[in-house]
Amino acid sequence: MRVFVTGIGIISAIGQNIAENLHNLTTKTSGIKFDPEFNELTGKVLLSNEELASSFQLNPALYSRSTLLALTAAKEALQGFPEEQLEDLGLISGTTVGGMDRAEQAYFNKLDNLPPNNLLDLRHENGNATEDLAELLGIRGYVNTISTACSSGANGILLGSRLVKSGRLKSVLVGCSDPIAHLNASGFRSLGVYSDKICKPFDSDRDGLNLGEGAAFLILEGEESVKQYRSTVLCEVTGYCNTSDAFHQTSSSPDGSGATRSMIGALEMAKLNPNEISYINAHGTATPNNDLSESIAIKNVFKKHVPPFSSTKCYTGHTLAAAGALEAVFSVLGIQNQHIYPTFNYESPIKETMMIPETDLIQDKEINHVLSNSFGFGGNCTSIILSKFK
Amino acid sequence: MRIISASSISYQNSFDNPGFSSALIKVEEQTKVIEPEYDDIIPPASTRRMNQAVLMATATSINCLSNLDGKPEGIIVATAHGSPHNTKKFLKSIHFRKGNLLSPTPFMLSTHNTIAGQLSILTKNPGYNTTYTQNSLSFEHALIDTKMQIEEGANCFLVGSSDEFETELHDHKFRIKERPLCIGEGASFFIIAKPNNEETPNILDVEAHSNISDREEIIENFLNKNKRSLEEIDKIYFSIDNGAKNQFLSRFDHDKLIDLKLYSKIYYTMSSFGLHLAFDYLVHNPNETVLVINNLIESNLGLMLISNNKWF
Repeated sequence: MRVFVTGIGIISAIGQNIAENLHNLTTKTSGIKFDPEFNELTGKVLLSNEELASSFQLNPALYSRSTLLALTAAKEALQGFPEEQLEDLGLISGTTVGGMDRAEQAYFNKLDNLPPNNLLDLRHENGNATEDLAELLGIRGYVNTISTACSSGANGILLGSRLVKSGRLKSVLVGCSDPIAHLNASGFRSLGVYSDKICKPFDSDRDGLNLGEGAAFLILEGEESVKQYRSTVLCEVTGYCNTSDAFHQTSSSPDGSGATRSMIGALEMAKLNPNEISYINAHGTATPNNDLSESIAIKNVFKKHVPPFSSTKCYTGHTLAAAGALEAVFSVLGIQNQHIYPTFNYESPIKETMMIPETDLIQDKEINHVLSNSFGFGGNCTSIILSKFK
Repeated sequence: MRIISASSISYQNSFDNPGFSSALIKVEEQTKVIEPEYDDIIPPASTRRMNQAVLMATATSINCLSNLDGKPEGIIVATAHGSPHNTKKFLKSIHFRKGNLLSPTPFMLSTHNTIAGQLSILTKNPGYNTTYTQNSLSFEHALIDTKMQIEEGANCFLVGSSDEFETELHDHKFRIKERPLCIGEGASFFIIAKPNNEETPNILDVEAHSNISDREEIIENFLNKNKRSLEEIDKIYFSIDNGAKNQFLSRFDHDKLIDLKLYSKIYYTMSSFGLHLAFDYLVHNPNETVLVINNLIESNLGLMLISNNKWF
């Protein structure tokens, strides 16, 4: 059973919807700016919780920012989705922060011997936030939350595809959402991985990442459902693979072993030769560790024929769990529009691998198969392949 | 799915003690989980940094794996709260140190998939690795993924859940109506494999339903799908939130019912302990069939049907 992408939605630092994100990707316009609340450069979504909630006539006091971001992207993906098809739709969401943006406030109050500002702050555990989303969207039945840090988005696409292929679900809404909260903002500061400039993926002078926030959702449908509901096919999910680096909780192995195996696994499943990949949307966080390890892994797989590649994290920042979902949406846009979105800020290649990312928008190449990488804490490595529908 | 081995840390004497399901003791609020000497099982250099959820998961996983030749193809973990101990430790350091150099260790170890990540590093498992966090249905979702893995060709997987005691970042009272609410903790891990012709307990089927409207109908459909009648079920381990509990339970033979919380306290992933009880019971009662009903959160329903495979 083939699995197709039939809907996409997104909210990020470079736009509140697909059109805005696409525009900024094609004009090399970054959404990363200095954030006085967290004292760092971040890729923030330029809407407050009140503004996000009011577009849906919701009371912001009742929802975590994760849910509000997710709802915005999910609603866009579901535009035009027939009401009667909701019966057969499952939901897979993913998050790292989840409801911690609310719970941390309650905990800070507790540390000061104060009661929580809002009793509901202690209601927003990860699974609960997903159930809120399901309820707001009218989805019941299969509702699940993945939490594998920065590979959650890609793992959601992997799980959703398998559920559809196995006949358990006709269609599934998959995606992720992560807001910037004190927990993750300070967390990455403590790891010393921030750059004090807009990040430079795959550059020899790269010195760290910028944190971002956002949400993205995709509708995955099986062939039967596409025929039954005459859904518009945007592209096909043709390959995926998840492996463990099994090396260290937060660093990638120097030989890029986990990443190498996840890319090979995805290619094998898609029955593609490496030279058939049109473009790689890399994980490319711009940390010294990731970009070297990922470059080595890409060279292991593609050898002398590394396809055009880039990282889009210089636009959105690293949106943690949402990264894999955002970047899957960017990959769909690349296939739909026959684009390769560039990395900017790049000046000179990583010495060990001498790989040069795309630095200008490419519009004159045939884009048939896009490989997207997402690597998370705990050595979780996932690669997915999206292909033009034929 | 065949259960090769099972291991739990719980309020019962369950660790490395086959037959424990026939000697269950009701818990009191002050009862603590019965733990092994962790340093005898896990390399002491590793235990130093482990919070309770990771400790329990690691000890039970190593215990399970000791029965296995070779490696499972992957690891699937279910956890509702992940690593709250580390999250709180890190939040404290943010709140009180205000910008001074923060130690990254608690943050690194605070993500929900710390358990699965640590397991893959410690057991050197390079395979599939994922973590589900869907409150009371986390474990059932882990089993559904495992079932698909086996359908896709895997031989065996390490699957389980772990949740440490936690009430400061999350108040269970919003989702569970039971009063008084006695929150607990526990971990249960299993080696789950492709069925073969050995006579061992098999998970015949597993389902997870969110935002349900008719509990009775879902259970009836589940049993029909598996060609079992209610009368053929010999034992039912259950968690049912208040609601119409008594009315629902009255349809079952009183002698078959075991209210899990009396032996495990309440934590979101407690249905995995129900599975271990079922496994342990069936090893000693091979001709029977067990149903685990997980209605811990009223609007969510998880179901597991377990029996020895000679009854296929």
